[in-house]
Amino acid sequence: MAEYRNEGKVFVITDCGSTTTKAILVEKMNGVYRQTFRGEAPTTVEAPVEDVTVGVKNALADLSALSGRLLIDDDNNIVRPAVGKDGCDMYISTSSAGGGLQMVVLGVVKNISASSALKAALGAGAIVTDCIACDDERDTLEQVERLRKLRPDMVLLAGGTEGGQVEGVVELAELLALAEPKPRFGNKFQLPVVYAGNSSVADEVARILEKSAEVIVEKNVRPTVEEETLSFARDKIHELFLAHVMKQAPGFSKLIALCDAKVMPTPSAVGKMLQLLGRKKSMNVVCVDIGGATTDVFSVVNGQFHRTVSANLGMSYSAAFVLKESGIPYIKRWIGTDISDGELLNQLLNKTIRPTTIPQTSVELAVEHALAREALRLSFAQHTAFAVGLKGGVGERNIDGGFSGGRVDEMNVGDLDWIIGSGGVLSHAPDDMQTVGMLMDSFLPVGITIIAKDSIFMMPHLGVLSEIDEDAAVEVFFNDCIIPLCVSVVPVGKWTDKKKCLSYRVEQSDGTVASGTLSWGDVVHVRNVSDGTLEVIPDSRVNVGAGMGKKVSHAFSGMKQGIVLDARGRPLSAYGNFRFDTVLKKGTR
Amino acid sequence: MTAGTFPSLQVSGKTTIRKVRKVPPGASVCVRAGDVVNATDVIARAMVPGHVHSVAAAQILGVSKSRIIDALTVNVGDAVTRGQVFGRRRVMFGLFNSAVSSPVDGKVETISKVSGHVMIREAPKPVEVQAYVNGTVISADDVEGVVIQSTCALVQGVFGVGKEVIARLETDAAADVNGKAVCVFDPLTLELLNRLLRNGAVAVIAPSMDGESLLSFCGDDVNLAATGDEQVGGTLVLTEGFGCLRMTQRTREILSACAGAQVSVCGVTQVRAGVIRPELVGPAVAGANDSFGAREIGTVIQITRGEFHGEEAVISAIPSTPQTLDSGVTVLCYEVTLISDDRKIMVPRPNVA
Repeated sequence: MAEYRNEGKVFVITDCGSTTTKAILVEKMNGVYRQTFRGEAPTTVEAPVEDVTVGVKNALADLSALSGRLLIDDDNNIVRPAVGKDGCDMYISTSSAGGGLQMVVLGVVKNISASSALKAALGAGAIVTDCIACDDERDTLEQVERLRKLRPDMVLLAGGTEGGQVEGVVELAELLALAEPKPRFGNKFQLPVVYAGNSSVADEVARILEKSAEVIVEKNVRPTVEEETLSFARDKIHELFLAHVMKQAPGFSKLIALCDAKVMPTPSAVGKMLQLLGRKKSMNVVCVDIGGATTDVFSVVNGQFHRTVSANLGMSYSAAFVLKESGIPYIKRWIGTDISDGELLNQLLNKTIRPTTIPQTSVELAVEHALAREALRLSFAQHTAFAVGLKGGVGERNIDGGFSGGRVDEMNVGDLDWIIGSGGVLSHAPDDMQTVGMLMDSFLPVGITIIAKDSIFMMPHLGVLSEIDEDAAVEVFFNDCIIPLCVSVVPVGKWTDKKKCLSYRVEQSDGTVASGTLSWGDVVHVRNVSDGTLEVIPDSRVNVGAGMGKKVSHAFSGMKQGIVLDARGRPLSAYGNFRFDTVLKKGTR
Repeated sequence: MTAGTFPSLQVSGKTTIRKVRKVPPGASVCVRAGDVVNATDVIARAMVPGHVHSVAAAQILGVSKSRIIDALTVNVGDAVTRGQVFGRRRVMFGLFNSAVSSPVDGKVETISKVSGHVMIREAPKPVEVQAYVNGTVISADDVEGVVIQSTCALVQGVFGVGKEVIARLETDAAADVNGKAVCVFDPLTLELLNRLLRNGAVAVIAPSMDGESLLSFCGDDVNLAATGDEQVGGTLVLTEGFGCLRMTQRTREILSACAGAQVSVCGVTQVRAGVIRPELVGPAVAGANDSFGAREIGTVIQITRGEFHGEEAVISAIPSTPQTLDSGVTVLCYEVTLISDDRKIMVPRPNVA
């Protein structure tokens, strides 16, 4: 019998989440890298175990059992390198266990230095527990009390352009010194404060904070009002996260020693993966991960990466916050069946306090999907508001066709090529078209956009893999990570109720052709067309991305649900019945 | 056959718990390991640093920030009183004067020549930490705090608001409730809650309350996922949830057995990582067993979602394959028999308590 030979390197990758450690096996099959098996185990940062590597090894043992590949030996070590059908060549990991990286950000002006510092911290994968600015609404007393109450892992202090503001920066340093915030882990270690503001004040900041913190000076995140340099602060945050913060968390020193590459904060790894896609495939992509407590939105548009965390928008712990932000009428508008305001309120409050319960009836599911639409809508609104050019600067304007016509540094849904949804409510909806409906209703894409889902939220794993092998990460992303659901075609233009707005023709790879027309108000679902070329010919006063009346062709492959043509108009509520499911039924072909 | 345990609420007539009583920085613990304590005993004392107030002195006086010290009559460490003028500036031979005064009683903490601000810190405040439960001190440390072991009755609620209180338990809402914790066995109305608190009740324990009433009581700004700091005039613990849900028989029996006894009640709720549930801790119920454990055939559970939300049932089978629900969701379930009418239904495993 011939000896088994691995075609390429065998990677074992874990993502240590707050509750679950998820392990995947990546290996080459028939010339391409694939994710072949997946295992998981509860994360073990909490008492009584208090060692994250125990959960890692349990997850690897699960992966071993499922794959038949020996990954943990009798001495409880990871088997390396891969020999035949056993072991792996590299073990790498991301982590958000133990609450991830929690930071407080301080900046002099809310919309300038504080905003840049916030972007740097979020881009580094941090959960920002507060952003304090000299011009925020709170007085000193409130700010000091807040700083004292929070126990961040790290602080990022910014302010002043080069040669600019001095007083505000000193004021913030004094505020920090007075509050003496203690780090979350380790009573004996000093809180790291990354100073990335006006360099002429660095020594004064260090002097003010010498007794209460360890000040690390980095390049100014906002050297001029028109310029932002986030990468230095971001890299420093990563470095400190590994050197200080993770070493204080239970078992993380062991995890760092166990890994063959740097351990990355989970959101940072997702950001890496998206940036890689943007660079390698020239894709404009937005990815949303909706959880119980928070919703993370990542985007790469025209090469610009942004991440936002909507801390209080989520499906369970934050359900009551979504309700408060949206209001009952906004949630009810998505629910088909009659439900009283009181009943809806009770259901959402019960979901908040019993977050792990599962919708048992169709009404309960409809309520959850309605809640998801609102949480996603609000999160994306926050993201687009954040992902704009620098306030105070002069932006370059886009003068080409399509939908933009605005500043090139502003996010425009018409520019999006992909919308990827992740998180239980999107990944595990009983019907894929429910996922499509939730994403289309909340992101309101226009033109031609691929709607996809990340089935098991593998993006963190692939982000850390991309640090080792970019091609392998991209191959696994397209082969196993995302499930393309449909091509969405959304015309915009002059609405005339029930009048035709476009015609379409789909030629499939096997030569078969499907064609039809779309009228304003309809949603048409063209099923059973996974691969082929779509041709859309809009009417003279309608635009699908190339300009009014201009034809668009789009090649596509692997669409599980085919093509969805949505002529409900934008904004949705402006015209007639806008509910995706009811309109969809009318227009299904 | 068992099906593992999902995180659940503990409702036990007799159990042993360990309460970690955190102490503020700089606290002095006044008990030792082995001491027997009552819930109301003080176990630690501390002086908590006072609030800090910032005064933009240079700006108020109209002097250069670097020369602020020259305009002040106080130095770092000096005591000041509320309204005390601690800096003056005279212009045009006294024709125009400006003065800066202290907003509080306190001490000058810092004077900044760069920002021109003077920071004044209020006097430290004394804080006492109570034992909260009757029991024995297991460990006591000025930094780590105090651990107290108690054998007691424990009813964890699903949602609560308000801080720790220690009081006698009253189970008759029509009786004199002044200074007492009151248990109401039926769904609570806003009217009854307000009446009990007006009559001096310090805590109210009930099975459920409708969401609108709760928001009227706490205000729209309440953070349901993390409570405890609300100023609502009393502590509230809901044992089952929102809507019109009945109290389970087990909870009712334990609370009835604690009637008249001193109980410790806390409304603090945190449903995110490091879950904290509101609770009532009372004296152990005679003859009760600590029966918290795995769910198996015959275990009595409570349904926490769906058409039968709030009903009690007995697990009659534990199917090993996922079942598809009315919602279309496919998930592992228990087959349960409703206690109310012997009907058999499928309930997702996470939807039971």
